Amino acid sequence: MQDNATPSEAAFAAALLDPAAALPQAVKRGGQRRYAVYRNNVTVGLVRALEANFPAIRRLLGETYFTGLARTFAQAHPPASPLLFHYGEDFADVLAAEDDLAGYPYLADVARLEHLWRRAHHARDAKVLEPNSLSALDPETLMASRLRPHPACALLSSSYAVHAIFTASRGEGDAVPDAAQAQCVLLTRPHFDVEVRVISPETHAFLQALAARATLAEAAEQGFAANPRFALAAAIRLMVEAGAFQHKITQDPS
Amino acid sequence: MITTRRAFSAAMLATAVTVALSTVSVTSATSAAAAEKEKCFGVAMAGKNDCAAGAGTTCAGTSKVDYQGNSWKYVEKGTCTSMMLPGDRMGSMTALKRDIPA
Amino acid sequence: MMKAIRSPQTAQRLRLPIFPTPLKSGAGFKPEHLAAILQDTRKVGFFEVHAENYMGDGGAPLAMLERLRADYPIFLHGVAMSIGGEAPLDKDHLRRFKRLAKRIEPHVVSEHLAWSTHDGVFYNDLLPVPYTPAVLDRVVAHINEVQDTLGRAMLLENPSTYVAFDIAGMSETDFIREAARRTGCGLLLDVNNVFVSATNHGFSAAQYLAEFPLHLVREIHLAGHASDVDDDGRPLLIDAHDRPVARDVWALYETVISQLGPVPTLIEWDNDVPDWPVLKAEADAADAILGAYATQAHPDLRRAG
Repeated sequence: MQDNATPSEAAFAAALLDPAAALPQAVKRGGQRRYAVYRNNVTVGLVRALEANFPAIRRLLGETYFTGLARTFAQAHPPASPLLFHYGEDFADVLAAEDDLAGYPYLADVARLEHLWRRAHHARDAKVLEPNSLSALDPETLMASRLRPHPACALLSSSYAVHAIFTASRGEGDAVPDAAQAQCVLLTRPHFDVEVRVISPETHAFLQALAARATLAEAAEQGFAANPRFALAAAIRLMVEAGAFQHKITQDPS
Repeated sequence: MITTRRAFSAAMLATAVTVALSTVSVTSATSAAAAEKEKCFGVAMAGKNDCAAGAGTTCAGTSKVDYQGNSWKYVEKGTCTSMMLPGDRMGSMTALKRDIPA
Repeated sequence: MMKAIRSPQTAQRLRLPIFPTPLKSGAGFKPEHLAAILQDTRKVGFFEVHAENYMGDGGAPLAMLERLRADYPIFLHGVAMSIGGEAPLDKDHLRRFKRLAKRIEPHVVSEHLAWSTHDGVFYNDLLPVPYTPAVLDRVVAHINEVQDTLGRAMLLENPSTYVAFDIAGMSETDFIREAARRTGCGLLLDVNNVFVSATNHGFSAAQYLAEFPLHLVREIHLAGHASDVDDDGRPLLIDAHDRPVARDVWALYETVISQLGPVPTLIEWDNDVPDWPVLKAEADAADAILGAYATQAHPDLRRAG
């Protein structure tokens, strides 16, 4: 304690996430169990936040293992923001690096999908691209057109059956027969419901290019590069139906 | 202005758009939004389904005591033990354990 | 209290209703209750939400809150401003708070006499503030900054605490009175917090309330607490918000209302949340007490309403 008059916040904070740390000096004697209330509130609160944010991972790991892992994660990666529905952005990386989980390499991508799902759920509202606004354009203008991704739109490409595992683990699908089957996923939220779709790798390439502000021509090129049999019309229909892009079409590169 | 040679032409893209949009099924934005709203505002919120917003803040303490140490062991089966991976990569979950000295 | 809406975008929308200050009980809003609330013909006085949970950019959570706001007054309760913290207030967080207040047009905004962020880490708990003159200065500066940013007065809530600091500081009631005097903020009296802290630190809750500047109270919180014991086997209460309000807390509450007249009173139930009728019954119990003292309406609240 530097200042005699005011106990240091740093000392109080330092012991909150460290179960082995001594009681902060300024706390009145005999306060070990009392201070532990704060420690418990912080730890349990953050573990609960991870439970709420990663229900599929919790189901996949089982409650006991998940709670243990979540506790060490919370101690090593406490949140920086009080917007707890975004907490755990790096949880996927920790799952990927965990030796014990090496036999379950799909877990990290499932966690990434859960994180993207919540991002989409809380994303800004925006008007989605309407079919007529594309069909009104002449062919050359269409080629040079650029779209802006809807704030909720996200893409994920996984070497595992991430969508099937995610869906099954949220209690909505069947058991997954082959977890090692690669899947690409598109997340959108045209209104209130987050929609998660499996898409082909070439559609993923096409949408990723569009989302990065490529022209429709450049993006279609990416789709054909990924697969010469790229079904362009089907991909355009899917992106419109899913509400992946915003209403406004531009021809400017910015 | 298109200078590079492409696997398709502007006409093909226009045709693709026409084909795509002739079969597109977009429910009217207002009716879809209203239906989703009803679902979100109704039963779905209680479960971990479409409308679960994720973690919230708290201004309460917790009476649930979490032992404060850092060690735990895998004792319960998660559903990941039933996910098949090729080769010998399945089933190692039963061997999971963690014992970190506190 | 409501400011006129100027931007053309919002001008096209119907303005949210202006409700009078409800001298009634309200409930902490839980999204899973929304359907039951909208179907309930007997309305509560207001709903309160944690501001942080509606600081996303859009989607269902905000749509839901706006729907609720169409039928009810909303009180916005911040839990993460870290008003008692050493660090300057988080400008992004202040901006988000302001944006939400503009969108929801809350009746009341409130925050805690506590800190939750240190060195960039958010601890997700309301941590205790040492009551010294130096800390008072920074709490006053932080409250002023919140009020200046929002363009309105906030309410400051008394905390529940588990540890005491080994310092010769001021009393909590003196600290709160001074903070209110220097900032013009109102007070949110959490009666359960008074009971929890009084039990944990061995002081008299009645004495605390006698010293508390009750004339500045614009809202009351009630909640349930859990019981434990400390290292020496003495009672240690935890402000768990996970059960009905305790009998002793109801008694303290009635004492306060008998002196003050009706004040908007919130039932907080944040863990092990029951079905809506159970929470509603707690709010009804508060209303029964408020109704018994309805004739001695709070002069300041009557003027505001």
